[in-house]
Amino acid sequence: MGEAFIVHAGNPKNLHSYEDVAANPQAKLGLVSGTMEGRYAQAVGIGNGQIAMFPDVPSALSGMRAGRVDAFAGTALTVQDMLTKAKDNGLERAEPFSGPVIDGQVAIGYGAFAFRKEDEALRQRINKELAAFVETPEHLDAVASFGFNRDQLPGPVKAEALCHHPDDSL
Amino acid sequence: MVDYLPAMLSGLKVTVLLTLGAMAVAFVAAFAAGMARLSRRAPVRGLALVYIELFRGTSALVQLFWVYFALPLVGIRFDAVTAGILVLGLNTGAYGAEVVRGALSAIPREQYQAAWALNLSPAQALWRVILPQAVIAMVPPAGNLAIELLKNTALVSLITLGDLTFQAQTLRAATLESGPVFALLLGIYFLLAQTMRFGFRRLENRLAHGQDYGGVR
Amino acid sequence: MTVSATDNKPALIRISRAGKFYGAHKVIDGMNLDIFPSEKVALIGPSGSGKSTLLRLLMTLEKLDEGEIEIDGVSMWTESMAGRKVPAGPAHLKAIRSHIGMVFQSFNLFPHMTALKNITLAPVTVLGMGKEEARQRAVELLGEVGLGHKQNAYPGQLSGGEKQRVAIARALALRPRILLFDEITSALDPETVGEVLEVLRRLAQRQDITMLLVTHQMHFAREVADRVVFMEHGKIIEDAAPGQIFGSPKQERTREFLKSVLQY
Repeated sequence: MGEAFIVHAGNPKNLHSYEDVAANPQAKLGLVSGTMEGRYAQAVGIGNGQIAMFPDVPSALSGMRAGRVDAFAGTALTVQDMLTKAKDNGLERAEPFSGPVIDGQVAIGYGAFAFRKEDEALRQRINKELAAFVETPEHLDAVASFGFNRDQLPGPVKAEALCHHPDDSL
Repeated sequence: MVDYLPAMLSGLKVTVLLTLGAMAVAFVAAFAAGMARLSRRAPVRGLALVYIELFRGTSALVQLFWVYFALPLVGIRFDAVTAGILVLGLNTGAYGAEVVRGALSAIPREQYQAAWALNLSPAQALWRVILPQAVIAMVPPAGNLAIELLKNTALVSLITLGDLTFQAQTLRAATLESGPVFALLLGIYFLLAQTMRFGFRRLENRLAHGQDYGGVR
Repeated sequence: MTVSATDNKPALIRISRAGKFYGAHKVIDGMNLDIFPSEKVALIGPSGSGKSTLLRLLMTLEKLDEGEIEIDGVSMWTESMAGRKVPAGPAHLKAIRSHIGMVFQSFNLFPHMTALKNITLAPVTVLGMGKEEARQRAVELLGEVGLGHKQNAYPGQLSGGEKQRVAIARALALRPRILLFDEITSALDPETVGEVLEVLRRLAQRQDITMLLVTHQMHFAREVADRVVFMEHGKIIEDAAPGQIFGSPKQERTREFLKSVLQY
């Protein structure tokens, strides 16, 4: 799942990436506190004074409308959902948009399940069922109404390539 | 716990700033509205009543929303700290106005009459005779309101301010150590509240000097 | 002493056809009364007869509903502005009040001030007297009422009689020409009544002060007053020298009233 910005109509500050915000000290970026977007913003060097932390999505939308921030950063899904529900001509998705580059790579968030370590058998069984289900027309049908499509599918990327914990020799 | 300190200290600064600022606003608002409630002019009384009931009758959280997010749409824009101080101050001031009104009404009519018979002007009577007596009765409830205000500052994360509670929540989310973080939060609020209680207690003792002999006029 | 009405001096207080209502109830009903400079007048009568209301009207604590009150020839409730009579403004009332002082039944001292401060407050804030001058005068006045040693006492530390004596000193500090006393011994313990009456007795000797006393102490009224006014239902029933009122009252109602209060 990639990142996206909501900006005011016409994108007056010309913000198309986290890096654009970092490069323009006048630009103010809104986030929901406790989300990954906060870490992205920090990682690309956006100063604390340029960031407004909203407690939740509705407040962030109010903040955009009140002109408290120039852009709101969220996952593409959150952003699309907000714009759909807001039906506000004054707001639009920043296009084109490039995700934050962290350690030389574009950061992308992946959805995942968590298991207790002793439930290894359950994990393997679910993996097997998911492998059979993902990418079927049935799957794409079921998630379409939430704004997902083929673009968000992980493709060839495997969990092993994403999950490495410093303590883990896996 | 040492790792928490920088974040908690920055939150503490915001909380203390908001509390002190809002106390100042509340002080002015409470006296203005409390005295206006006793005015002989009906429009003045009415205006004060509208203010008091508007701020007492709606929640501080909703007031914050309106001032920070809605007022800019009609061209009135306060930065987050000013909006927080203004809303929390006016909110507390609305309760304070009733404290002021109550204390002023509790002064016997004979005190006004004595001041009148000595040819003091109404303003002189108020400042020299009535207020000095009424203020003593205002201090204990004002102390309660101030501590209530301190705890109300936790609402300002709605308007993007990183107060103590917000910083604690962020730390909790980052470390998942709810116990220690909340223990620290509890300790800091308790110390702040005790400091305020001590301050109000001293103020009360100072003002009451000379009047603690039975109180018969 | 002769009743001053026979002197040819103009009245200091002139009350003409005065009326005061509480709703439909007439507390003062078409009253006429002249009081002359340096007179000591006792107002007696059953409770509810309008005595205290009369004092409160003179102190401008109540507004007159009809008729007229003049102090030294000046109308209390009207003033002339550009040749026309208009209701008195605050400045006019303040000027009128500067001639008058009042002592209340319940003392009404300011509890947050020392005895000294109670006395200096008005001279300093109203007359603009210097603080040191006001203090010296207050010390003098406290000495006159026998409380020179209580300058720094707060009202809560004083007995009822002491409080009332401070209240008298406080009223005197503004040097009023007219002093009103509203049942000033009614709230006192019997053993402290004497000390307050003693102060009044001495005040009654002064020619520069005109006194109106509402009192239930008939023997005291007889002793200090030049003139006794018996009131009932807001009207003056009898107005005469104490010797006549207490010796051979002309009116049947006066006789009845005195009989009822004097048998105790």
